[in-house]
Amino acid sequence: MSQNMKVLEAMIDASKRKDHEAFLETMTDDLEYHWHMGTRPIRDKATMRKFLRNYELGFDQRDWTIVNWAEKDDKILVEGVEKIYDRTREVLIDNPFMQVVEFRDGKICKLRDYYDSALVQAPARKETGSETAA
Amino acid sequence: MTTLTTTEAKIDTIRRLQQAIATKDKQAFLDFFAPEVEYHYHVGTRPLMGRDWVEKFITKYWADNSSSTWIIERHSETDAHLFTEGREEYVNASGQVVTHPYMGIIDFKPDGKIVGWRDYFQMADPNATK
Repeated sequence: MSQNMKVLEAMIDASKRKDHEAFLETMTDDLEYHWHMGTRPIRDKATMRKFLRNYELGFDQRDWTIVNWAEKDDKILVEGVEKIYDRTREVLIDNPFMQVVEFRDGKICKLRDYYDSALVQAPARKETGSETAA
Repeated sequence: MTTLTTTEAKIDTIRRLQQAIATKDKQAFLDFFAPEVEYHYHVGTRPLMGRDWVEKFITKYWADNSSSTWIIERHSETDAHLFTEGREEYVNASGQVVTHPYMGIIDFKPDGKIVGWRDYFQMADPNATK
């Protein structure tokens, strides 16, 4: 596994533990995070920290899985799926996505997420006991 | 008949497919696909199953979107997949230029034929939310 892939896995692990500081530690100070293409990106850690806090008020990310990936130079292109629980609507959502992760000096400097937010907002199935193990 | 060479870089295969699109050469376009292809032109929408369905789709798409342009900005590949990041631009019914940023993954069989294709993007017209 490449060093950059280890950094990406460290970010995913931190996300699963809800460890925001460990998550931010994988990123450069001048990060650029496009959490939704077409929306103004996040460009600093203070805003990123606030984003993570606000996100968790609305959603609980239950899983983040990389399905396919390819590395080229300082970039990793990823296809994956996340399982998120919408706290407001009390539904569990599968959100398939792709993302580009760019690295500089062993840290993530740019991140662009591609998915259709309509899928996240669409009616999803109610959580059941068996699904909470994910 | 389009010639597929398995030693060819996958991005070069897709560059040739883009040429088929640019010239609207339907047979050349379809020759890139395996008969059992599963084509998600938008992940979240029901996929096209099989080359015949792809043909029906592309016939209608080319008729309805005469000015669309597919631009690949970044790519990376493995033995079986091509990953791309880019944008599609077209003119909508109101005459506005619409740009859809997207990422996609294309799955190839060992013989070089495309057997899977999944494009990820926001389906809604970005101009509609402005």
